[in-house]
Amino acid sequence: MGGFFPELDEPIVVSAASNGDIVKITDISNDFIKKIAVRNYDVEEVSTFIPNMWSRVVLFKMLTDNSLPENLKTHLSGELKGLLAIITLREIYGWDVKMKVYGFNQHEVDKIAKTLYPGTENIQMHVIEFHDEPIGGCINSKYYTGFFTSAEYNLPTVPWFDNGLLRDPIETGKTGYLDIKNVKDALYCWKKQANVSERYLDNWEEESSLICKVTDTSSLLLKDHPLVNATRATKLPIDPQKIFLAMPKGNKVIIYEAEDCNIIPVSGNTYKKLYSYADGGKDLVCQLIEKTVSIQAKKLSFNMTYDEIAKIDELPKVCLWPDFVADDWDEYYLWCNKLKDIAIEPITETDDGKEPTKTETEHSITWKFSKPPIGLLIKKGEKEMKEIGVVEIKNLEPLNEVDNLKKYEVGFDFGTTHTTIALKTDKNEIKTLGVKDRICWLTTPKNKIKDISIIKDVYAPVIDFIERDFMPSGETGETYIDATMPTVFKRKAMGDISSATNEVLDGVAIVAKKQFPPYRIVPDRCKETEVIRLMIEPFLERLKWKGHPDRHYIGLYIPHLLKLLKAELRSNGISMNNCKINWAYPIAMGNERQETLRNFFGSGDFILESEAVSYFFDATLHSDTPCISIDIGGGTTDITVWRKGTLLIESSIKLAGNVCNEYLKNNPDVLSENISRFDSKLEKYKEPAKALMKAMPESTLSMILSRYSKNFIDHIAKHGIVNEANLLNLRKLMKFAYTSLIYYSGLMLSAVGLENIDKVNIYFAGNGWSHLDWLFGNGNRDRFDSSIDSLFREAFTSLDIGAGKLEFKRSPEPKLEVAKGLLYQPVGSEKTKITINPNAKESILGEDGFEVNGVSKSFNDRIDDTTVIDDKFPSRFVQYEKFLQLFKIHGLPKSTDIMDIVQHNIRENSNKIEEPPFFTIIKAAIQKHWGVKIRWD
Amino acid sequence: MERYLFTIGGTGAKCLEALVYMGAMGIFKDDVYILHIDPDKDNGNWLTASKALESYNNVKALITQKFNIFSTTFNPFRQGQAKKVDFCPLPRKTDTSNYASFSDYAEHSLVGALLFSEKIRNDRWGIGFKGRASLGSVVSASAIKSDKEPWNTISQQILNTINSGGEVRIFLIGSIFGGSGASIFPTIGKLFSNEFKTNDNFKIGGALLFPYFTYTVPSDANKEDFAKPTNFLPKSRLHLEFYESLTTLNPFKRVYILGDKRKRSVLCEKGSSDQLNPPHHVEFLSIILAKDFFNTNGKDLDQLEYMGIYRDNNEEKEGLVKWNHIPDNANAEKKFLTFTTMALSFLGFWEPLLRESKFKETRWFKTYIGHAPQLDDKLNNLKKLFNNYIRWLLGVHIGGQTDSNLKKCQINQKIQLFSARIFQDILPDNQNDEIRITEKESKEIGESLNVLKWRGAKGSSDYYEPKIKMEKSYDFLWKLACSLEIDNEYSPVEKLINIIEKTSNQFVNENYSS
Repeated sequence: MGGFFPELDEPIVVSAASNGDIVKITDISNDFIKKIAVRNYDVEEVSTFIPNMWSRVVLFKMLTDNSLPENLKTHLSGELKGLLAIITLREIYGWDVKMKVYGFNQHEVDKIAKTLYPGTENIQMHVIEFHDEPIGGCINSKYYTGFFTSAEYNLPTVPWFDNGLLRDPIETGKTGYLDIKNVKDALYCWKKQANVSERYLDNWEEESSLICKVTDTSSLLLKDHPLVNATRATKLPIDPQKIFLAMPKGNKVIIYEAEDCNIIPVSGNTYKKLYSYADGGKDLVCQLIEKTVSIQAKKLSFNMTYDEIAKIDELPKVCLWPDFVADDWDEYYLWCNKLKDIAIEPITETDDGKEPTKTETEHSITWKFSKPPIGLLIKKGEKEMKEIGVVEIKNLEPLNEVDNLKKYEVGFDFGTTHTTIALKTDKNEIKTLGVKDRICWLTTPKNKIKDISIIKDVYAPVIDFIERDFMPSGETGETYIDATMPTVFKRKAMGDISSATNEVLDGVAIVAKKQFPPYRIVPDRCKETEVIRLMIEPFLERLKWKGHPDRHYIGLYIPHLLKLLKAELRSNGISMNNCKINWAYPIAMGNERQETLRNFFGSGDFILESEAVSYFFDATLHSDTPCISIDIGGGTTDITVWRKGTLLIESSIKLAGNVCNEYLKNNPDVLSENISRFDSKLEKYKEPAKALMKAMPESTLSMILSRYSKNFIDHIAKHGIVNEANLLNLRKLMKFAYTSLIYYSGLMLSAVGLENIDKVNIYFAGNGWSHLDWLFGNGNRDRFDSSIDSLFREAFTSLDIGAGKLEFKRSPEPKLEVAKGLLYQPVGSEKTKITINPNAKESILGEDGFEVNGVSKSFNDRIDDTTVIDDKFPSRFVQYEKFLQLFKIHGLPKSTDIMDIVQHNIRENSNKIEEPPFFTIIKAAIQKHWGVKIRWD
Repeated sequence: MERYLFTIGGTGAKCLEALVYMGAMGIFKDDVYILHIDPDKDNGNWLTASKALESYNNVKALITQKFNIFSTTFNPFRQGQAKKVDFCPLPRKTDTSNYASFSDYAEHSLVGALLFSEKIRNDRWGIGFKGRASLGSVVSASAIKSDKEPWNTISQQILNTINSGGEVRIFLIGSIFGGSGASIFPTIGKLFSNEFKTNDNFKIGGALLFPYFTYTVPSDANKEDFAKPTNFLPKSRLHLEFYESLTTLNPFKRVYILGDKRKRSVLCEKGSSDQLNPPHHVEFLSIILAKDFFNTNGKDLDQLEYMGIYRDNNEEKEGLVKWNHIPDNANAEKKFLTFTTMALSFLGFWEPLLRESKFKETRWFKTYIGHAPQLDDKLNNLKKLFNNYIRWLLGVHIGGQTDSNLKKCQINQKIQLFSARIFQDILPDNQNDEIRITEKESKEIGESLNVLKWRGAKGSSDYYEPKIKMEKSYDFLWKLACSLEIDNEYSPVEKLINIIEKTSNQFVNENYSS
């Protein structure tokens, strides 16, 4: 129809109407807009054509939407193709092309970004720079995702820059010194990638969807992007022999060989080009055939003759962490030890804008990357290092994308001795999560790692890598960087440190020795007992929260654990971002420490360890029968009393596996007694180790063994059965200490008025119970040695809690139950402030936060069953003396024997002691009788 | 219903001028709030429109009664302490503003470097954006915000009206091919839509004017000072494409498309006071479309529709503009003819008569007008308005603008509304002078009144024979004037205007009846 309209190429279609009628245009886009006649336009003004500040961007969106007039389309698609050709062919022409993220600040978001399109405040822009001059950009937003050229640019070195504009290099035939066919080849590979044909790209038609719908613009200029892969298919008009032969200069061409490791005899730069011709390096093959070396990439191959093969005695030990690659993973560490005449350097792909960080120590070098390197450049020489070849990195497992819709929960039972982790899957299945070290050995085959582990000079750098470089360094700039750092390995079997998946992470190796190597050098001529002492001593230190000079390592250890966990989760297709991490903490942990942990773990649930254990035993806890949970760990024992799902009373005591450790520290030769049970010449190394690993000092021993291995066992075996007295003494100590915990739990039960009940269930949780198994030779971890069992029952009986009513239950997985318990649905338990039964036969000390008959009890109120204020100590400790009656041990100190120690300790440490005073007395007795000081905090 | 009509840029100013006359002649009868938005606040088109408005308001001030003519009240919006009908979105120092210095954006040099050439970034905005819509959007995004005047006042006014159960409709008029209209049009739409889109009593529509004129940049001129007409159509297409791409976010309920395939050539002026384009029929058509929008049942404004005015395809090709091309043409034609007859009869017959002192002593004068203090001043007001109107009407009828003096331009024979020669004849040689009607011209007017409406050649279908003989025109008017019944409540000048209107109306009825 006609009307009062602008010049149209075709009339608008409309049903019958009369002059002067106001009619509706039903299809404004096709029936009007596209018919508007566009003959000419002023090229210089095109940038301002759209009534939007982002006019230029909108124009390119219209180009991709195929909604531009034909002549504008030709012009802009020429510019776009010219820009993309620059990106694609930049390496061939040697142009410095970068893509930089433009960060909009909030002000810019409001003033600029939002104006692109309503609701596009999340716009991302990359600026494309050609030798540091902006020539275009790439927008990534809900509205438009694609490229645009700058409003003006000057690119005199680009052949297809013509008369102020970039043009299509193919259409114009302006490709400079490159044959047009080569350019076409370079651009051809896009065709394989795309499905949609877009008219505006004409002879680049298949590339359009790829080019204009770039979702991850930042990766555009990386090698793994298909756009850039184009260069890999380019046939250069250059003799490949001249490119790829980069052997050491000189008269002779030498092929260097290293045992167990193929070195490809090319330079780093040559390797990068070769790599780009192969499919991610996978198809790169190097063969030595008589006097010829043949190197083949997917599209290229060349041969050359060499004169000589030289063996390399020893390559640096190089490993990479982690052992996988994933798009969303951007933390890789490469470690190598230093050798005198051989050096390695990582070869990375094209710059991604992130330079690897390099940390060099006396013994090693560590690089940190956001993408894994593609190869290792090997250099050799005494004075001047020369490139001799490249080692490829091939064993990284590519991981699939994470399904962000799935949510998980992780139960994290952190212990300074042991840590366990459990995972609740998206299907609500709870399983333990082992953690691998995930180290990929690059120059040393995995099956030979065990050999190097026993060679201290080699192993030291490995430890160095694991402990120092791989770990995050300290945040405060204090001495952290110089400290040796923890490993998390529990070596199930000797030599297997790289492949084992560890369910219980051994953190006792947090030995804060500021020395290198982090173990003692044992003199050749040394008494066997002294040898053992020297070996053990460095590892008896523990990382504890308070009072320990090196406790700040916790700040490094936890992030390290989390990093391992993150890698483990990722290898299982899970992003830590999709996980809620529930965290267990002991009763004794103060608010400040809890806060520290919260800072690491974010928004997950924080649950008492004893509660977590309780959730694990949920069904029983809901019964009418009271339950006592006695969770003995490496340094702390938590005791809780439950009934009908309600936590009635709880207590935290600093008396646990540390009793045994402290004794061993003073009497290391006692270990030999245990090992002496095994006597086969060969087996004596294996079985004792296995037994030791299972037993109490496993955290200590695992470390010792990992350092000294057979040497240590050998020393102990030679030492023979000469210290049985010491072993017996330790057994008595452990009986005394652990029974005090049992006795006290009975006191707690009595204090809440539950002593006259039919039945009591007692759960023995935590890893500390295994000390008894080891010391008393009990191979069955479901129950105690009979003598122990009797003693425990007797402790309850002495409190008039009938032995027949007691049911003991050992935890089958003393550590894992906490981690798993963290993932169980809470049982609705609640802490109850109870009123201590005033008529209870056995009085008990008040605990923190508890009241007795409505009156808050201070520390001094809590000392045994009488009032003790400074010089008004009781003349004797009633409960202690009653407790002593359980033992037939000669010479155990009476109240009066330890009164001085108790008074002294209380006066000296009153601000530190937060546990029931009963144990102040018990510790005093241990100190008096066994000479072992147990710490207060 | 409250009606708001916003005109934007130079083209918008021309439409505002047309609105004044459409209001004067009673085609646009309702009261309306008006606002003209223009970064080039000194441009000649706006100055002309504001003069027309001033002359109208001067006449309107004489009338307290509701007449068929001069019935519209053009209300300004409050802007701070003052009430104004115009708004400049630029900072005050317009002559030095440009992208590079505009405070909101100057710091983002990298974004600017990507999106605009250096020349464009540094080009000053003192005479507008030279057709650069993207720059216009930079300014409009900054200046047209609900927390700034006059927009906050307008928003509050809308809110008050809606809250009291009233209805508000906004109509925007701007060119789609320039820098100001194309950028400000959607910005205003978005502004109010964001606030009131969910309210059924609020509707917003507009007329987008496509290129209907062109010009040639003189070879000796600095080409960079001019928006380039070759870009008009490409830009129009892209602008509309862009609006359309906003799809569901498009705030408008109705958009009228308006333009002309035959683009009139105008003198090339770079802007400011020199920009003085002659009036064009597209401009008054935009006002008729505004009226259509205001009169449309609200139920028919639920979803965005694009509308246009139908014209026979062949007639469009020929560039013909006829009465039947105008929506509601019978009414429009009648009102145009009546008001033009009024204007000419005033200039040629009534004014000379009324200024005669002897005439004031006549019985007729005393009977019909009575004591009329300061009559001359009031006649001057009327004369000024009619003077402007005739000049405007002539402008609508000229072909290519070959001279800034419309008297020297050719009449476009394709504009078949009025026989425009008479307008040209009575205009003074100097376009800045007022029309001074001589006896000869008075006679000429009298002889032209019965054939004001365009007619084709004798024998053609467009030919008509006037019912009133050409020498009898004034007689007809006078006889009628002597027999009229005029309300005695009217003031003398109201009586006079009423007489002139009634006689002209009767004249038109009589003369052009078939």
